[in-house]
Amino acid sequence: MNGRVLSRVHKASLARASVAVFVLEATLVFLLIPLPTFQGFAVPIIGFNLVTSLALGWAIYRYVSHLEFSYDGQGFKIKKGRRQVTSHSWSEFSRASLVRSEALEFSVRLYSDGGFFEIPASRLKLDPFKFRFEVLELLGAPKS
Amino acid sequence: MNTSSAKDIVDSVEKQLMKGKGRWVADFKESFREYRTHGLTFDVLVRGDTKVKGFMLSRLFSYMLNPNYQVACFILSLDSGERLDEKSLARYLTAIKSFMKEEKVDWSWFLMVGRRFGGGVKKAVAGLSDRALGVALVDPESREMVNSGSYLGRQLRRYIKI
Repeated sequence: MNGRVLSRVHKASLARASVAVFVLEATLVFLLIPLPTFQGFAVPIIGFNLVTSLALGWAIYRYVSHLEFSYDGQGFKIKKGRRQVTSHSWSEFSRASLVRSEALEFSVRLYSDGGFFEIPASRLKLDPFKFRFEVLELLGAPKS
Repeated sequence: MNTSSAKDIVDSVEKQLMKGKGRWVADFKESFREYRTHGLTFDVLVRGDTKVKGFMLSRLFSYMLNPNYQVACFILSLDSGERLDEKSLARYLTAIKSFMKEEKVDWSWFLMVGRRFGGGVKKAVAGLSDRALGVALVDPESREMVNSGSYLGRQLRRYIKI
């Protein structure tokens, strides 16, 4: 697809994955390492936990929730993590709107006869208001 | 004087609503551009409801006490030299009322932005007393706002900053 490709890191998702790994590792340390041993090696253990939680968090983020969005005049493709790929042609949709979620994140919602599909503009670090106009242009004249 | 075009005001009001400016009245969540209904086109239609979300207690409080009204805000700009008379105003209001009936919308705001409103239109808007529809006219040059006398009309003036 020759067009624009966006693949920006969503820091909140990365932080969530890293914190989850850190909490899991800390729990294992608490359960498996006796307190006197931990007291003797507290700094290296916590340091190791921090480094591995960042590395594993990054790997989990890339595998599960990193978004890669590419689009051109014909259509678009969204890849979530390493597995889930969705592609659509703009011509499948007849109308677009801008929606805000409870978490105050904006998406561009594309309506087709069978329902709708949302492009998560805020998560892709796009200006949702500008991107909505770009999508409206790609859809052709807005039809309501 | 800092003058804005009608289009700038339309964009600004849409942003305000979508970013939660009117949340004390309603939570606006979805915005359509160039929305066509009953043969008329509005620059913006923003839809939402009155079920205010929050965290734990406020969510429970809202769920138990707040009615979940469906709401809409129609915005129309008249930048292109188009003149709005009382007849056209009546057509727009009829279209909005029909939309509300079809889509089960409990109340709506209707904001018109432009320079060419006749005195009759201003009087007609000021005299509107529909409890389910708040209407306001804004002149982008003078920033003068005329609103309908209903509660919703007064709230529209209060929450929308031009």
